[in-house]
Parts: sequence; structure tokens; C-alpha cells
Amino acid sequence: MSSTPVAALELEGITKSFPGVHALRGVSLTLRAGTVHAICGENGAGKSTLIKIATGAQHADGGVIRIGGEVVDRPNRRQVQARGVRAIFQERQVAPDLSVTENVLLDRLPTRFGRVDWRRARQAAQARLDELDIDIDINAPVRSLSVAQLQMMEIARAVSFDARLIVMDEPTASLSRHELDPLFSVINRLRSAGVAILFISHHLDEVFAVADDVTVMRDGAVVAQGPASEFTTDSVVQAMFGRSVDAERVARHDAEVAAAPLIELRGVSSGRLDNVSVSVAAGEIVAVTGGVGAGVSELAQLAAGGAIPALGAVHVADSSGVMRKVRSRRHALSLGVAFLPADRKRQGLLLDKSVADNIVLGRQANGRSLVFGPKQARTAAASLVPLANVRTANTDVIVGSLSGGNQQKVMIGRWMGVDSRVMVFDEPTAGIDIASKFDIYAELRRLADAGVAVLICSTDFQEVGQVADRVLVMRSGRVVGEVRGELATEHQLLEMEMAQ
Amino acid sequence: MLRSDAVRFVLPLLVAILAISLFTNNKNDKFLGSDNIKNILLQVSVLGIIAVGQTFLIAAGQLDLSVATLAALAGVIGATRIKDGGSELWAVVLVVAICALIGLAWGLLVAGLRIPPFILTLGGTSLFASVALRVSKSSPVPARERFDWLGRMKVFGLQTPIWFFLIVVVVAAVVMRYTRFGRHVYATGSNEEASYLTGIPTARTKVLCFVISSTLAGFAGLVAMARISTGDPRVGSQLALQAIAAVVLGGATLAGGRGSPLGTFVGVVLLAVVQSALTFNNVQTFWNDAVFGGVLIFAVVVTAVGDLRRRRGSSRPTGLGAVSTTSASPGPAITDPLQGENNQ
Repeated sequence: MSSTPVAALELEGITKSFPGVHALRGVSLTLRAGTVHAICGENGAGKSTLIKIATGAQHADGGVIRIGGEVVDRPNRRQVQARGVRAIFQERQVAPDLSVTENVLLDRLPTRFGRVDWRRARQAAQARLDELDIDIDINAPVRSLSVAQLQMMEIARAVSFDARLIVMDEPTASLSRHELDPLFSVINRLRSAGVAILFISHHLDEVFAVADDVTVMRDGAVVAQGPASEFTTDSVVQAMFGRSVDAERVARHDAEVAAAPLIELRGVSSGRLDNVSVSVAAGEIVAVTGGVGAGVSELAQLAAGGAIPALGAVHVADSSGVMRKVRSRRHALSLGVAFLPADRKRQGLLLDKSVADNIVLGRQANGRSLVFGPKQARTAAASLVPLANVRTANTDVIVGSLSGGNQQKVMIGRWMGVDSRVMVFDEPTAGIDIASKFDIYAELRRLADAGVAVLICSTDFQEVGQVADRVLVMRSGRVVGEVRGELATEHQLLEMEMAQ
Repeated sequence: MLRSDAVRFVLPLLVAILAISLFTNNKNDKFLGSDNIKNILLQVSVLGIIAVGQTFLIAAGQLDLSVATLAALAGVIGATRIKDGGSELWAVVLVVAICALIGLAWGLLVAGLRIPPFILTLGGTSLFASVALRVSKSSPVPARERFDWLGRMKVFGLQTPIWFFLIVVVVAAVVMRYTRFGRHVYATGSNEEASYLTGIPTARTKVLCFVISSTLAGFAGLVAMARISTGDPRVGSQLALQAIAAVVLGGATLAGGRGSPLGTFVGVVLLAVVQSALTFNNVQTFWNDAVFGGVLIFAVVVTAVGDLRRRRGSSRPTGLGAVSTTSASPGPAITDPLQGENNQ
């Protein structure tokens, strides 16, 4: 590959600053045709800005961009696309009610006598999918596809535009383990067809599985760059954070756990879930894990009262210890059940509102008095922000501008404000960078030590092994095994999930 | 959030009101005379009361198009009740109660069955217009110089409709800013699903907003009837759109989560000042609607440009999706203003 003379993309000394922030300080990288180049860095390292500049969504303040050897000056999206650069973002860019055929071909549907020639259109779309060995029904409306299938479809679309360079922004973020292999084999096909791929990911094992070259960024600058073979996971992490990250188990401080559970799911069935029972006692962290189809996320919704199970029930201890059957989300809240959904932006936060407005939302929802004024909100926010270790300039900052880790801490703070006794986390560290993950794990342990019953629903095996006291493994809506936290290695969990 | 919003939305409107007033006053110094100012406030009181009700709905991400014909219906029913010599107070209570029930029905349908309020209340608009014609037998119902206290009486130099308008604005402002319900309205409008999952009673909040809006619309209809001593079934067909325009001028977005009664007050006054200035400057009346439309378009464009700047200026925008490669957008990312729902 090193014989390829012309680089697909060359960035030289790219700088970019926003008011008060140096987002990029002279970033250079070379992406050779037919290779995969991974960019690693924690949130805020400048990855997103770099992609935006490379795809023409933003202009650099300085530096040179060469696409296919040709210098392009302050290109816009159209100019970049015309040179064969396509991007696949985390937010899907599709027309959900149209078919796969229409989405792949888009504005280039073949016509005959001014009408769409559907036969040729379908053939063309099918050919695109076949080239990449992607198995999707071309007549299906895009709404019915899984996340993984959507992503494949977007890749096929990029290829149908004769893309020479595809930018993939966190392509694995919403995929389950089984869906990774098909993605990687498509990436390999593209690579051998001479397509260059810029691959942005939080997950280092995936980076090492596909990348030829690695660029590590920190604070807007390149801190390490070279062939993937010259890196190890440790050296990348070290470069990302400027220090090695402690990956030890967040151990329980107090070994004693009260016998009586604070929350009990008794024989719950609903949708995918089939007769699931889980209980969590005060001071305990229990994790429920499994692949994406296992129903882990549905379980979180039920446990929090966000949905009511068809069969069975969720019981929560009230303040005098009597178990009460949960009737609604609001009822669960009054019993002290907090809920931190996986999709914080859609289901957790008021993105256009301030940190203060968001962090007091639990108190606002729970209280009975008629009055809830700005003064009360401000005082409550001022005490909750430090309690949850939220890093923010002040409480008037719009919550949407915080990093994922800080947003999750705002969510935790929201529930500290109402003396939650049970906290249900759906994917507690989704979209959160590695360093902040450990902050969140430490936060979870502090909550448990303070007597909260913590229920974690997570598809991240590594995570549950690190933080949970007890792990339940699910497959297709059923609990298939249980293991103590210190024995819950990734390997062990995978085996339990696959068994039978 | 409220303070900066006030500066962003209300200040430009105040500047516009001042500029228009000074310009017109230069030509004719009666414009800023107390008579004309009182007249402007009086003209605008009915629209203002309706717009304040609409503010609750829009802040909660909802909408009610039927308030104009509901107001007309309220006026007709009120006039009919006392035509035969019934008690004024009883007529008012009856009409307001009917309107509150209608609001309750809207709220239950929208919150319970998840019907988009746009379509539902569009249906209501026609329904109420028809019923008003039926009740009045298609002609204005004389109210025989009754309801003086509701429409014409002067208190401390101002006519009662102005007082009603001001009181409604102040009470609504306090409710929106200082009560738990008011905060729930903003939370529901900002992100209904997140609010629900936090434990905020989003359904109850929406229902209450519809009840408030319909009740105020009914009351405004009575005030309008009292002012002209006639229950006119065809009165104020433009009121619903004008009310929405005023709310949006005052800083609300149809996507929900923003808006304030004080902003709405200033928005309503701006619309009235513009109309009055047109009269003072002898502009022919057929231009009125064009100017109304122009003001509204100008205001939303200015706001949108401001928003765009702020997005560009932020260092780490989350909106990569906003620069979509396709013309279509993924469903939940963009709120359909006509739908008025934040989830689904």
C-alpha cells in the first residue's frame, strides 16, 4: 500500500479557533488511498472540528487541505463532495418513509420518458448493495431497518456517489457486538477497492481491528501518529490523556448489603422481555447485561416505571419499607426511583435549557408546593452542581454544550436533588469518553455507598465487570445467568450469553 | 434563561415600537397623546387576552387555532343569555365554564389520544363558527347596553378591557415564572419525552394549558361583545392567527419551550402600534394585512439569523446532522411545528 503515490486526503497545519477556544492547533495528517486511518481522542480533543473542516462543513483559519493531491481552498460541502469525499455521521441522514432503493439512489433515480424507471432503479440499488455484500431488502421502507442496516445503506449510498474517501464518525457507537463484523468486512472491501477511510472511534479494540494508521489528538493537537502496528492500547490511551488511565474495578467499600431489596422486578414480561426477575438492595450495584436484542434497555424503562409491564410487576419499597407496586413513572418517582436513560439528548435533557433548569428538574417534578421560582431553582442548582461534580463555568450554561460525561453528571445531580433511593441507569456511559467513564463509575460507587440501590442496564461487558457487585446476563428477553461482579470478566459474560 | 431571553426578544420589539411611535408622532403629535395610547390598548385588549392564553399552549409545544371562533361563540351565547333579561354574572360564569370544558376536551384528546392539536383545533374552528351562527340565527345579537362593567366602564381613567388585559398579563407572567406548573409548561415544551421520564405530569400540564387558553378566549369573547354591545357571530376571524403571531413576536417558538406573557404583551402592542401608525400616516387600509405579514416575517427572520449566529459561534455544536447531505431529515431530530408534539 505504501507505494500509492497520491494521498486521498492531506491536511497540513490546520488551525481553527472559536471565541475563547483553540479548537485545532496545527493538525497535519495524511490519509493514503486504500487505507483506514483512525483518529482517537477524548471528547473535546478536536476530532469533530477536524471532520467538519475535512468535509467542508466549516472553514479552517489556516493550513492547507489537499484532496487527491489537489489543493482546495476553504472548500464548501459541495466542492468536497464533488471530489469524492463522503461522510457518515452518527445522526442518520435518511428519508425514513422512502424505500432503500430511493435512499441509496436519492436524486439520481433513473428515468424513462420523464418517469422513474423503477426496474432499473431497483437493479442499480441492488448492484450497489451486492458489491459490498450487504444483505438488505431494497423495497423495505428505511424506517423498518435496524441501526446497523441503516449504516450499511449509508455506506452503499456513499459508494454509489463514487466516494474516494469516506469519513465514518463513531460508526460503531450504536452497534452491538454481532453487528461489528459485517461492518468491518464492508470496510475491508472498500479498502481493497482503493477507498480511503477516516475512522473516528472511542473504542480502541475496534481501532486496532481495522486501522492501518492511527492519529491521536489531545487539546486540538496531534500528540501521536503512525502505523497502527506501532501502537498498543496502552500507548494510545496514554497519548490521549497524557497519563495512563486506571482501569481497576471500582470496588465496594462496605461489604455489607442490607438483605431487604429496595426494588424488585417480579416475573416481568413485556414485549421482548419474558418473565424477568431482578432485585436490588440498598448499597448494591446490580448490572443487567446482554447484546442489543436482549431487551436490556426495555428492562430499564420498566424498572423506572416509564412503561408498565404486561405481566408481572415492579415493586419498590416506600419510606417505611412496605413494597409498593409501581403504577406510573410519576408514582415511581414519588417512591424515590431515578431514571437515567441511554439517549440523554432525547429522553433525558432539556437540551436548549441551562444546567440549572436541568439539574433542578427532579425537584421540580417531585415537589408538591405550588411555588417553584427562579430563586429556588438557582439555590438548588448551586448546591447540586458541586455535589454531582459537574464541571461547568456557571449554572446558566446551556446543557447541550456540555460534554457527554458532564451531561450525565447533570442527570445524576438531578436525582441527587430528590433523595433517590433507587437509581436506574440505561447505558450509563453511552457517548462518554474513556476518562470520564471512570469518573461516572466512581460516582456510581459513591451513590451505592450512600445507600442507593443502583440498577445498571448495559450492553458493555467491560463496564459491568468493572462496576457491578452482581451481574445478570440476558439473551432474547430472558435472564440466562448470574455471576458475582469480581468474576464478571468480558470472557465469562460472553460465554454465559452464548451458552446453550 | 429568562433574563437573556427577555433581552434578546423583548428589547428589539421595544425599540421597534419606540421608533415607529416617534416617527409617526413627528408627523402628527396626537400619536403619542394619552388618548391614542389608551385607544391602542383598548383596541388590542381582546387580542391580548387571547394571545396570553395562547402563550401557555405554545410554550408547552401546543397550539389552538379555534380560539377566535370560540371567542365569537362566547360573545353570542353571553348576549343571548341576557337578551331575555337574565343575570349578567350568571351569563359570564356559564360562558366561561362552557369554554373551560371545551378546553378540557381539547386537552384530553391531545394528551390522551395523541391527536395533533393543529388538525383538531382546525376542526374546532369550523365547528364553533357554525354553532355561533346557529345560536345567533345568523345575525348579531344585541346585548342592550348591558355588561357595562365588562366593556365600557372606566376605572382610574382606563376602560375595563384594558385592566382585564393588564391583569391577565401580570397573573400569567407570575404563574409562568414562579409556579411549579409554569416551569412544567416550559419543560414539557422543551422536551416532552424527557420531562415525562423525569416524572413531570406532562399530560396534566398540557390539559391545563388548553383549559387556560380556552377560558381566556371565552372571556375575551365576552369583553369584545360587551364593548360593542353586540354578540356578533362573525367577529374577529383573524384573532387566532394574530394571537399566534404576537406570541411568536414575543420570543416563543412553535417547537415549544420558549415564550413569556410579557413578551406576548409587547408583541401585541407592537402589532397595534403598527396598525395605528398606518392609520395616522394615511396608508390605505388594504395594506394593513401586508404590513402585518411583513412585520411577522421580518421578526422571525431576525430571530432565526440570531439563532444561526449563536450556533455557528458555539465551539462544539452537536448539530452535525443539521448539515444533512439529503434534503430529508430524520424524524425525531426536527420538530414538526404543525404537529406540536416533541416526541414521536
